[in-house]
Amino acid sequence: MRRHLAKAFPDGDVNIRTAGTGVEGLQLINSRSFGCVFLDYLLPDMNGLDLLRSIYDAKTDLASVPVVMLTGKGSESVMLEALRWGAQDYIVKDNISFHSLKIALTKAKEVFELKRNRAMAEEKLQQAQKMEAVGQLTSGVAHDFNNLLSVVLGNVYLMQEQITAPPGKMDTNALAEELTAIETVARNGAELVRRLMLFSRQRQLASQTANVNDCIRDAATLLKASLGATIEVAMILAEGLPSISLDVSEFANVLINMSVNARDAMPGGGKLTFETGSIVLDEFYAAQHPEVKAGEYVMVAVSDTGTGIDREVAHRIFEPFFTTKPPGKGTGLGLAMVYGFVRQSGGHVDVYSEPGHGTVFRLYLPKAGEPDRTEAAPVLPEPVQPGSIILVAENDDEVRGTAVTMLEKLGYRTLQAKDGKVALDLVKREQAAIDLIFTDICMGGFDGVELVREARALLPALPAVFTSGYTEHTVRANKIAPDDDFIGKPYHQEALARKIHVALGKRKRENV
Amino acid sequence: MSDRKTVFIVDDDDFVRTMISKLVASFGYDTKGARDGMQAIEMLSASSPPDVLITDIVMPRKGGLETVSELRAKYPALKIIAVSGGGRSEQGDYLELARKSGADEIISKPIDPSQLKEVLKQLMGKQ
Ligand SMILES: Nc1ncnc2c1ncn2[C@@H]1O[C@H](COP(=O)(O)OP(=O)(O)OP(=O)(O)O)[C@@H](O)[C@H]1O
Ligand SMILES: [Mg+2]
Repeated sequence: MRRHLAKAFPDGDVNIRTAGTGVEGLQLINSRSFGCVFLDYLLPDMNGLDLLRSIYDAKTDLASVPVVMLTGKGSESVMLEALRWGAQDYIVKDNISFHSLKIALTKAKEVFELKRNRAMAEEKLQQAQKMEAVGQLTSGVAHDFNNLLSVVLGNVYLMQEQITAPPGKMDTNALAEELTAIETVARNGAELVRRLMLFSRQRQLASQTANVNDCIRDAATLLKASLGATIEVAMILAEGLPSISLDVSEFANVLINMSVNARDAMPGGGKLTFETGSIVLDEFYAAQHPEVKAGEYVMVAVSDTGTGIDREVAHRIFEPFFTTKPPGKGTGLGLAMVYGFVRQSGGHVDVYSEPGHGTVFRLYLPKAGEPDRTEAAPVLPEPVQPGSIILVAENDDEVRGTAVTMLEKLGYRTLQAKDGKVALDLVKREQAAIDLIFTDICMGGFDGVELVREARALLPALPAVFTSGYTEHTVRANKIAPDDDFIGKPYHQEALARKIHVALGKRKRENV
Repeated sequence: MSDRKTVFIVDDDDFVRTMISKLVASFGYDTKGARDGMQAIEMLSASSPPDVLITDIVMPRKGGLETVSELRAKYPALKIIAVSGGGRSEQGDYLELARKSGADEIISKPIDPSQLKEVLKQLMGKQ
């Protein structure tokens, strides 16, 4: 290795340091800065991935130095893991030459720099957005408080006039009205402060052990009465959900805020659905959402059949004072409150929306008692035929990338398509080579359902698994047949493995 | 026809509008009100113009600035008071912008009742 490096950089312009064990390596890496680290997977005291993980920074998605992993032949899973934990490249040991080292070194340094610059730019942008939010917050609060104070001052003035009126001319009815007006706006002010505090995490939640299904039933009774007759309220609540620790009254506020938003998005009426379930958010999901800890969660989905959220504003809806509603109709604090609540509960919120069709908000609340995640390796069912080819159709690049990584880790081979049309072209070209279609349902225009219909016109027994950001209930009701295979987003590797396994199995049966 | 002067109040916040109406009534004027600029312009064209119009600046549908310049063009004799809880747009401070759009007086929120009374008295006197 050293010999190859020396050969690759003969003029001594590269300073080489070596470490024989993981611990030594770590000490060296932490003691000074290196242009690149070549890291062997097999170290006497630990494996290279463990070392890599310990210098990995999730925020930048980089290790502290550029890293090239050295692995044995056939350890694709190690290579993939290495790339996931911040390595820029890998070299199979049998192929080491001064040439491959030189290329790997240059590439690793370049990719590392690019990525670090991007991370820095993103952080600056976030900072700027935060400042903007603070600005909006200040002027939003100022506006509302000034209105409120105007009402207080005005009414106090009127009351002073009243009490200085000649005896017998004092209008007690008017006085009572003025007092009520003052009381009402003062309470509104208190509510505004309460929501703000919750958002800025100043207020502690009063947690107790509760069942989310019960909370939802209670809220739904109230909502049915207040949302109006044009809005149907439905509940699909999972049996046997564990009780979790949460602030019941704040949770009720969360449900109400989301329901009011749903109502506002359905001016002509529609359907509001509450759905609950147990779900595991796995390492893949956690890697894509830095604030999420992998683990077991109770999921609460609130979906509506409303206008949906425009792509341009979707990333801003949780900002305090961000609203698309006219002044007086919305303060833009509803979702900020929801966000504050969920974060304080150690959970996560995620939104999926199809403009023109509707929106699903999903809350993930951690199961009580912090499940200990001693990384019991998930038991994966053996793929029916390792090497089966799966066509992955999905318009979101990131989601598609994750799906492909999961499937390849499971031993499948993949073809990718970024929409229905491209996918269908692939089906036409590859025909029987494709063993299964794994497709998103909504991909804008030519959707997953059409794709599978057309593909099956060519290959009648072709297995398919559908996926969607919508809840299974919604999709089953509108889009796919009862015996179609479906997996809801976000899915984890284990569940995906099982679905694909079952779907592939179906074809086997049909073929005999 | 009574010789009482009329004040027209435009504010999208129901509490604020009601409160201003009561105050203005207690000063001895007749009052009318609208929720936004659009409604105000409709109502004005359907009846004889008021003596003074008080308008908020940040409102849905038709905002205060637009309302002010439109009314200024249509009713040169109308006295206009613009009210705002502060804040600014890209073009500058709302109250300054309101003055440029043709408001005779500007008042910042929270509204001070005595100040409002004074301003109204002066504007009525000028007519
Ligand atoms: N279910 C939904 N469907 C469509 N758009 C939504 C939905 N929920 C939220 N939004 C969008 O997100 C914005 C922010 O929502 P948020 O609840 O924070 O504030 P708001 O509803 O405007 O005001 P507030 O809740 O304070 O009365 C809304 O103005 C709306 O544009
Ligand atoms: Mg809201």
